[in-house]
Amino acid sequence: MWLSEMEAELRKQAQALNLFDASSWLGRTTALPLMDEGTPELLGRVHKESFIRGALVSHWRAGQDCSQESNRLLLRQIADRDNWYATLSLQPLLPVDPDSPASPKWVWPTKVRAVRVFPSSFQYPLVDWCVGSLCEMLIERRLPLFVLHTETTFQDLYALASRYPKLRIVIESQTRKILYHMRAVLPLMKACPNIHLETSNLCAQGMVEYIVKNLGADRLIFGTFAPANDPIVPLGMLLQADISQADKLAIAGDNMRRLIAKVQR
Amino acid sequence: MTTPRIVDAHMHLGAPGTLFTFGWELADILRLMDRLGIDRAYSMHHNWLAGHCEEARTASLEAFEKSGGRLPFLAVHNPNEENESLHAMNACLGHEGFIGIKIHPSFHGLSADDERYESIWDYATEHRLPILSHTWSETYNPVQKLSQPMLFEKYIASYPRVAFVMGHCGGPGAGRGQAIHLAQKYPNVYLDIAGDIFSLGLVPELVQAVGAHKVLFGSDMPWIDPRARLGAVLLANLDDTAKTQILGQNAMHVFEPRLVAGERLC
Repeated sequence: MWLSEMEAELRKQAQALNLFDASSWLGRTTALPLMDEGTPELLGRVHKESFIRGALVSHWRAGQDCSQESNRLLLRQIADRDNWYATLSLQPLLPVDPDSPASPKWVWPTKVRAVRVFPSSFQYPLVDWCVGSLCEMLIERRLPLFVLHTETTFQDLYALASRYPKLRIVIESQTRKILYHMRAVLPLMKACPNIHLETSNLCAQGMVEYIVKNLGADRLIFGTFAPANDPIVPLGMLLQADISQADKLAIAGDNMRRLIAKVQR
Repeated sequence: MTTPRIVDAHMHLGAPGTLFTFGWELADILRLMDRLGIDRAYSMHHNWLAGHCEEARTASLEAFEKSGGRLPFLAVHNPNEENESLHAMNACLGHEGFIGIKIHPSFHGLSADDERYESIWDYATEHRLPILSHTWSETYNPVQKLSQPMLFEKYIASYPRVAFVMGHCGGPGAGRGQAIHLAQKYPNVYLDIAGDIFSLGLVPELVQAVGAHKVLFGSDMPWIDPRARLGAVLLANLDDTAKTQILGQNAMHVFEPRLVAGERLC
């Protein structure tokens, strides 16, 4: 009896959070050998079972071989999903790739609400002289920039966020333990108010409460890393967090919705 | 005492080394347990892992007393410092808070099948104590290969009376398949879900593969917040009987059979 009541209460609370996932993925990655192929059908089912009502969706091919092909696949696969938006994978604007926003033929796809870069995988540094023009373009279009913490250094993130205070940067807590790096992440967030942290792997004890209390709930962005990871993990962290309901709602989706609402289309 | 319902079978006391986590002191741990309805938690003190056996033993006993018996503990065995390990362990024998032995091949830099582990399996048999070990998959971290589940098989097979819990159920990669294989093959092998093993549908997958009676809820706090693991059981697509087993009954069956009907397994 106690168990059914506990579960029912959690489900009720989860329904009320109006979850928006900033980290849903299609395709698969060799970095996570046990994961199932992220198909739109699987992702849709996972969202439904996890109370998720909207998502920023990415494609794994972006970080592995070809960002252009990844973007095409992604846009095709999410085209008929109302509440799914694309996180496009982009490169520095110089040199100009054929399929780059710097190309005269480029048209911004309507579903794009965020951009991700993979500096380490594509072998360039996340520094001003390399990605500055891209950052300026993102600021102009008010697109947030996503970066996996494994793809760059905290020093580079600090320099970039300081140089472009109007650029919203979301540090993603995957694909390895970000809990080892909290002594860098927390001062970085304190120093740079334009840096946010995605929560799919933010699992160190008490960290949600600590960040809300010391930096503010507006700095956390709910993400799941589904379908490689189980949305139950970040959801469980949020549902049982010792923070106000308003802060839970902000983290669960309001913060991200606010960021992407400003995107110039 | 009422029978505990939620038992965290894998957590740590003490400061977590170089890592920053929030709320690892005893009072904070107990407050969090109260908040989440965790009745008991089995601790393996960080200082014990690091080789400060006497310091860790004292702190573990103190935590057991101060918590009103809610924090029973496992003694950590390091074969590289066998005398000190066994000395501290001997001093715990007979204490109601001492419920098992922890080994950590990766942390101690010794492969799980190394002959220097034989003495602790003998010790566990002699004193009817379960063993919990760190287990993991081969990953970018080279020491993790020392704790791959299949390396434990020679001891599991030779010591059928020792209940053996594979911490982290083999980790996030190929180790999980090995852990499942061993839990299917040997009645004395159990799997805990502690740590950042966050793959989709993990708990139902384990239950389907090895049965709910062999899966233990564990958190790995303060490294990992228990809420990251508790929700994975509470919201899993499983019936209440399975969840009750996983959340507490199995842990007590293995480590504290006096709290449930039945005999200690080893």
